[in-house]
Amino acid sequence: MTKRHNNDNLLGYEKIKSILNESPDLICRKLEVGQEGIHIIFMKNLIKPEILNEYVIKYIEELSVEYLHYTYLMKNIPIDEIKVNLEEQEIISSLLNGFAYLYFLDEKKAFIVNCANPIERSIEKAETESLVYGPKISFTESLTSNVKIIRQNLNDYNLCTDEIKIGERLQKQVRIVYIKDIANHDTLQTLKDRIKQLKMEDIIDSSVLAQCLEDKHYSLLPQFILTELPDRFIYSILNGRIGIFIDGSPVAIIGPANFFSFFESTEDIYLRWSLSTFIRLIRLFAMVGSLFLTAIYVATMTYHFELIPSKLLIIIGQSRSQIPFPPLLEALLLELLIELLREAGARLPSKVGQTMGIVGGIVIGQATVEAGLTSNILIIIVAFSALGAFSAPIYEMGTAVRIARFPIIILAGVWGLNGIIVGICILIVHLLRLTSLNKPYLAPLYPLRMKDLKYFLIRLPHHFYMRRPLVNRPKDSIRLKERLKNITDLDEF
Amino acid sequence: MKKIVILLCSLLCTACMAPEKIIEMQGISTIIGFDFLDDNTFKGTISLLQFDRKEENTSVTLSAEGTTSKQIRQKLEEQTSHDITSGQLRTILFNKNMAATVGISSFLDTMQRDSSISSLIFLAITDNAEETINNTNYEEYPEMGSYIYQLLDKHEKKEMLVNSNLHDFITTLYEIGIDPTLPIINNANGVAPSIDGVALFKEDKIVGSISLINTLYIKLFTNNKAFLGDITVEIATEELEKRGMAELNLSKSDSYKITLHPIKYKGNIEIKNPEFVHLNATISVSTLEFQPSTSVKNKDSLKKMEQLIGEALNKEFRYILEELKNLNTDPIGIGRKIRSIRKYSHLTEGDLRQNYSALKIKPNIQVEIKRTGLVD
Repeated sequence: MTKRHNNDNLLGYEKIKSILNESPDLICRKLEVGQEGIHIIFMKNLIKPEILNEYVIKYIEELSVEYLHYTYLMKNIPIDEIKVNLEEQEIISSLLNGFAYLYFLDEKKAFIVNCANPIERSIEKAETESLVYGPKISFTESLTSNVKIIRQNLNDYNLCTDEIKIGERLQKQVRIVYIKDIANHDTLQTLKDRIKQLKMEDIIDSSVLAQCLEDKHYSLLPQFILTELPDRFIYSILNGRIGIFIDGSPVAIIGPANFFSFFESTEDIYLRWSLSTFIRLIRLFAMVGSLFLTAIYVATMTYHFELIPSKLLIIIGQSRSQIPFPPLLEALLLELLIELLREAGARLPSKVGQTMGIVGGIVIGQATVEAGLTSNILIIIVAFSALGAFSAPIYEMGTAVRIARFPIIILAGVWGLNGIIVGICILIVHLLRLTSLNKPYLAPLYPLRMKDLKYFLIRLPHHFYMRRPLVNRPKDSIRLKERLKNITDLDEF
Repeated sequence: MKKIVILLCSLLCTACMAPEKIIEMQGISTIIGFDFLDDNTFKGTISLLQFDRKEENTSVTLSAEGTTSKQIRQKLEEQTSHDITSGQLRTILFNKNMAATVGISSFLDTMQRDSSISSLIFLAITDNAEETINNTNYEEYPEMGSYIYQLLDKHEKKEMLVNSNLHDFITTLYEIGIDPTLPIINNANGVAPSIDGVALFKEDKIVGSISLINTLYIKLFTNNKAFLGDITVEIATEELEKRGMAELNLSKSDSYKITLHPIKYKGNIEIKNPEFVHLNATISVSTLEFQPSTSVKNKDSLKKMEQLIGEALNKEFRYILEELKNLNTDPIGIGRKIRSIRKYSHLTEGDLRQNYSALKIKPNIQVEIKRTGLVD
């Protein structure tokens, strides 16, 4: 039997079995109907048995003899997805994706049908980016349901979801999601080129893909927004950004990102403008405070006590008086302690996590002060810094701020305020040089786009937003009501 | 990477690093006082913050004798384990006796050159600097330095004092045609130190003093933005009756007192010639209080009242000017004004001093009552 098909690229059961390393899951069901012998080959755990039984086996057995041939079955089998004209590689990978392989012994022809039964999590509430207002739905690990969520919420025929396959061993499907008449063509092309040029054996998660696509790999700062919120994704796409899904990851990538977009949350749109503006400015202020406050403490305690207002001087002096470490060491110790607490809290199961808070907050905090290892002023400052870093709506930006804090503290400990200024200079130069998908990272501030400041720094009432932000260079920057009318006309057509 | 290395080297190799001054190792001085002993030796007293919570006081005072302020400092350093620093120094006190005989400019010069001493620190005169600093009554403030700083700062903010910081003192000292003034701090046993008048200087030596309230006449012509403080004027009842202000229904008390609150004012030194000077000023006031109480509604009587107040003020001003002339000190800066005119700009300090004692000065203060019956 195998002899006859040697020249053919269609595979028999034996061949498949040897390719799949004698997998015990591989099953070959041999049907003898009429004069035709049909082999149905599939992986036991990957298919949905009901589909195979009901729509493949039962269907074939109930057919009268004259219809039992390749052409008729290929055209009429009641299953949505079939593949014909198969390559060897495709047959194997399809089998491993839960397809069933129908092989017609006499005709030497074959096709495969989709009986897949993927394991999926149901759609749940967002965990890492939680909102007070707004939709609670979050993406799942399934690419299909993610695209479904987007399609369902964004019913636009111009919404494109281009497919690219990446990974050499572990092939993964990547979908590039954008709105054709909004997204900038050059940005899209850059992104596609970068994805195609990726030479990776496997890409496990979207966060890995985002890191691979970055403009500057050595930067501390994230250059893509990672989100698990469909509403944030849709909002970004509507403003001319481009989204990326990767199969198996519940986190979507959005690019190009600029610095300030990491401090906006979709909640800013849902809340009233006054509160949103206030919250946005607080986030930026918290970020700056988180970066520099501990460093300023170290610098003033070590070099510039003249700067402390005289009323504060005694309080600060008293809290420092018994401490055996220099301020730099004291601050680094406490900052590391907080990082340790956070890490332990993140690793522990959520039920034990509460205990962690008590241990960290009360035991360590209070005890170190009472033992005279750190000053209580520093505890307040470090706690503020930690809070400030966590207030960034995108977790990655918070981590970047937390890391960037340490070199600045060390600079402050070595050179005082001069060191902080050096740190600020390096940071600003870096921010100015950084790009995300070749778009400037510090965008509405530099290059200055006055019209865009209202999108990123503050939020005005909604009727001010008649245009899309220019920093994303959308093809179509105006969103007017007349345009909406045209689209509905076209739809009817 | 190369750039970062270059940046690091440019800072490290040029030793661009501030000296380390960890806060708890510093003896932070907040106030320093100088007393005059005989034989050109001085006694310096300093109040240092101490941060030990177990101690009751938040400050320690140290004293040392020496011939220069730096020597005093050297000797003070011997008495403490902390580095004595002057970055938080807020006030310098001088002994009145010392300021009257030796002069204080030599001390101020070295202070002015010390980069860690702000040029905005206060200077003040006291009878005995050591005792003032050692006084333990300082209300709710943690230590004497911050108490005296707050005392002077409050008075300067409310503009009750003519500016008295190091910068102002040095400027008025070296400028030709104006003499500096400094507040006098009174130190009595058992009470917190208080401000007791303003010392008048001739060059860097004290020659006399005037009361805090009377500084308004100086402020009228030196600082246009100063807050004058309320003015209380006493007018003899006879005077009122003479002007036919019978409708005031005055009681028999022999003098009539009014407290006025200046709203704005404008002072101008008008030089007629180097021997004759007009001091013109207009003050707009609102009336705050009459003793005994009266109500002035009539416009005509208001006019008369303004005149009377003006006269009373001028009379007092004339008296003060006479005293200033006797002391040969010029805190108002009449000499400066004379010298600012092109044809008199050749006059030297000596010329102006000589001229000053013979100068005819005509005070001309006018008062306008803008508001009455104001509710604060």
